[in-house]
Amino acid sequence: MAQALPLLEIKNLTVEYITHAGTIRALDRISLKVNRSEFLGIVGESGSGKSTLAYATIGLLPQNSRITSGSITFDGIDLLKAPSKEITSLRGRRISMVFQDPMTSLNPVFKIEEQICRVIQQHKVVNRQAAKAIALEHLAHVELPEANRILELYPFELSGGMQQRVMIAMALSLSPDLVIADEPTSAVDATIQFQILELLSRLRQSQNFSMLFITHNLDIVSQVCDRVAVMYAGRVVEEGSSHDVFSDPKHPYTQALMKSIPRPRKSITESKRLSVIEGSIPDLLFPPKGCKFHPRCPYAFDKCKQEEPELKEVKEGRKVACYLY
Amino acid sequence: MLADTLQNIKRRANMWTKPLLKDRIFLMGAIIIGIMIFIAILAPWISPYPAQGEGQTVPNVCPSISPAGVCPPSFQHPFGTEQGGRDLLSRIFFGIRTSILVSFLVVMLAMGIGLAVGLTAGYFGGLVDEALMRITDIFLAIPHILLALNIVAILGPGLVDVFIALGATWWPAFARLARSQAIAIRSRPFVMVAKAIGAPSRHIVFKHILPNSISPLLVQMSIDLGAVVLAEAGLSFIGLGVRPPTADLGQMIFAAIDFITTSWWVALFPGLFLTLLVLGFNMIGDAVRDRFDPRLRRQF
Amino acid sequence: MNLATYVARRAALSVFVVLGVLVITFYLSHILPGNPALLFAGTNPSPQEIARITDQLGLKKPLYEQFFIYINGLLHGNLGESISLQAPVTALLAEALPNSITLATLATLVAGAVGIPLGILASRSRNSTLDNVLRVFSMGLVALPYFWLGLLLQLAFASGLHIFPIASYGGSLFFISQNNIPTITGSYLIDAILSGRFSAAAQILWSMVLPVITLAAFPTGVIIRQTRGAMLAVLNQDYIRTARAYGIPNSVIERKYALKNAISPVLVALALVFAGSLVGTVFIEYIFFLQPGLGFLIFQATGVGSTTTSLAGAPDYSLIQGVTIVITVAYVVMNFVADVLQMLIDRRIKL
Repeated sequence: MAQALPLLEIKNLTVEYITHAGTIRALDRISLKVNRSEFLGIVGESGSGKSTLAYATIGLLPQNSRITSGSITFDGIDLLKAPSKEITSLRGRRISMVFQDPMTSLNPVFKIEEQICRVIQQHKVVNRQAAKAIALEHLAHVELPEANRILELYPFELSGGMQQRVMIAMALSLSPDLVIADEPTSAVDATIQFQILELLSRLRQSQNFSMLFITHNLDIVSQVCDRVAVMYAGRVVEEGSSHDVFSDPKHPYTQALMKSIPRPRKSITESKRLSVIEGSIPDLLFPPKGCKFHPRCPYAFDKCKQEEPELKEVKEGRKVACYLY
Repeated sequence: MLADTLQNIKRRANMWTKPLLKDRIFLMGAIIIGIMIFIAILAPWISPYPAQGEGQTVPNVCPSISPAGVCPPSFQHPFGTEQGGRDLLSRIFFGIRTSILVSFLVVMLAMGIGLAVGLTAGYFGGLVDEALMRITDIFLAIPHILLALNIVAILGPGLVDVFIALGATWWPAFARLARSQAIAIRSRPFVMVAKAIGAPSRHIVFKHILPNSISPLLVQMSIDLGAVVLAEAGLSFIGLGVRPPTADLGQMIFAAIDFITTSWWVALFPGLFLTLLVLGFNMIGDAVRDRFDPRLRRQF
Repeated sequence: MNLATYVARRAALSVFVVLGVLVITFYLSHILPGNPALLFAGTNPSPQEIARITDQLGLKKPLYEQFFIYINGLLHGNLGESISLQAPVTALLAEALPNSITLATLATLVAGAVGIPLGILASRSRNSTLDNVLRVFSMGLVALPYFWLGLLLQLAFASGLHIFPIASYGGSLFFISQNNIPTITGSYLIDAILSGRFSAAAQILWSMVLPVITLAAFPTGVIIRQTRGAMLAVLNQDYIRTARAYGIPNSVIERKYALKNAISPVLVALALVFAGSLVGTVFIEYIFFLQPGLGFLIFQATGVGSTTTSLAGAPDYSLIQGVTIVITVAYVVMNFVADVLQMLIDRRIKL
């Protein structure tokens, strides 16, 4: 298999937040790759650092954050070292983002037309008419009916699902190489969620882009992503193709996540208790020594409490950070 | 019952004081006001010429320069003298006393009235609420100084009248705040419980609703103090404030108009201290309000 | 609810409020201790005078009837007679309003032109030195008493450096009559411009510089703080984050996206500032001797600045009442205007 250069390569990235209470290490030496036309899912609970990963890539980390090590390379460009003008020109054009809550992520006092066209005209030298045409085209791609009418509306006049489609259209309007989706379906209800995921799968075929899909919901990932990385407390604990990780979860955390997905019972007589993971995520101000998952791990032994396991490749394309392997 | 309320308030107060003390602006304001309060309380003892501060005129202070007794700053009179040969520094000290006294009392009165009106309206709701709120709206529509002007014009100038007039002007904002607090709190579980066991309304209002409503009103109080000082000085300037010979910064500035071209010190120093006083109050008010705004998220 | 319905509803509410204010001013003079007749009688009236006025005012009639007479008179443009100036209050107000409105408008414009950019500047870097300096500066402006600042400016620039005239429109009491400025709107400045007397207009404007600066100080402080607060609140919103994520440069975000969202409270503040400036004329017009004007009227009404010695010390209540009503109406109207503007900007506000 020819090894093409990855589109996005994150190497050894560490991001810390400086707060009044102390320093929080949100990302701890993370290394990930996203190839062209690949959908990588990032799964983790809140506090796992997945959003930090997204914002670090697009360069919108808050002011109290520090990148203390590592690099983010996008198509050969070092995003952490590039001049801000270059970064600004990348945003929207080659890397775009879909946010969690479309209602608050769209400007309430401007019409949809203004918001999408402004983005297009920022990066492409076209007049308003041409920009509008491009916008209409992409609104059609996200299967929004009456795209013309929608352009004239204000965000609050659309339903949650439609708003999210608009956001996706905006994200794809300049045909970027990478789309970062930060929990794109968390703010909409289940039926819409399903539709959006279907939409993304279809778009993948027609539009040809890569996606960094961030979610806390393990179930969703299998629907759209080729590969998945599971994060816990700022570290990647397991990585592999979605199929593999789902059918054969190796890290105890991943296994526990799989078990806790509610599944319908097979028969009336079968009783299934919702299984939970004991304990709670560690306080990142005072993380536990050794493997960060060990306080909650049913298999923890002495070595786990001393030294943190590194992410190792256990077979081709499959990585786990656990002493069990 | 009152002791309970006070203890509740004290506990909440401790929650705020720590972060507030770190704010530079708050500290500056607190220092300024601290000094001013010190001056106000100890005026009779720290003024170089307390009797003059209270209004006694002194003949022939500098007859060669000014027959009216307006003398430039000198060693005996660091800020000079105002009309009547009165030492300006002492007058200013007593003027600060007047301003602080009036402003604190006025804000207390306004808060009291506001609480009474607002809590009643908020707790009982319905027609009482509507009626009280319409009245509040009307009072809010009239600019403070104008309303106070109207009242003082009828009552006549004088310390007590100014106090009543200003107190009657500033209560609406407190009433609004108290009302929204009462509305928010009256549906809380512990109030429901109290009602269910048959506690009388008065008890509920005093013991449960009042302590929980007090915080935004205290914030409003810190914001209003500066404005009240300015309003009081403004009224005195127009001539409808405290009566001479009581020292008053606004009145002193007015008197200085006649001497403005020859004796700059009579206008400069009283105004300077007045501005400082208001600034100090504003700084405290601003810092307090900043703290209790819905916390702004970190910027991207 | 669409715009027309909203406007109608607010108008009705405003009328109600104005009515309420009238009730209050009316009752103030009748309920507070003292015979209302005294307020309208001047100083040292003889018992016969008091009796006559009491009768004239119809004070023997029941209260509600008196109120109706009062309102009736009001609707016919009769606000009573000013004792100090021996003229109908309505005429005095009509004469004084245009100039004061001109002053207040200029002050508001200055406050906006200076305050908004400074507020935006402060919001760019929260808690930085610049921000703190601007915060203290705006607090200082808000703390300055109008009357003191006016005096200082007069002292420094007028009598001191002789750059500006000390008092009066155009610099001297006779300027207006000397220059034969016709009365079109009633405002000296506007009339001079409208009638083509540009050099006279320039001189009038020049004489207004110090008063306008004095009047604009407090409002500028308020606007700086409002703008800063509003911008900070907006800049933290998700949609600004979206704009940044799509590569929209900071300057565009600030000018277009953030500003439109932040402008509402600032507009409200500007409207209130205008009405507040009308009140501020009380102090300015006396110090700078800008006659005729609302503030000047109030000064004469309180007897302190009265030129007629017979009235010194006794307030002229009908005049005060008249001014109060006018300024309150201005407040209510400006509030209303601000709210409508808000509605037009943010389409979410549906009542």
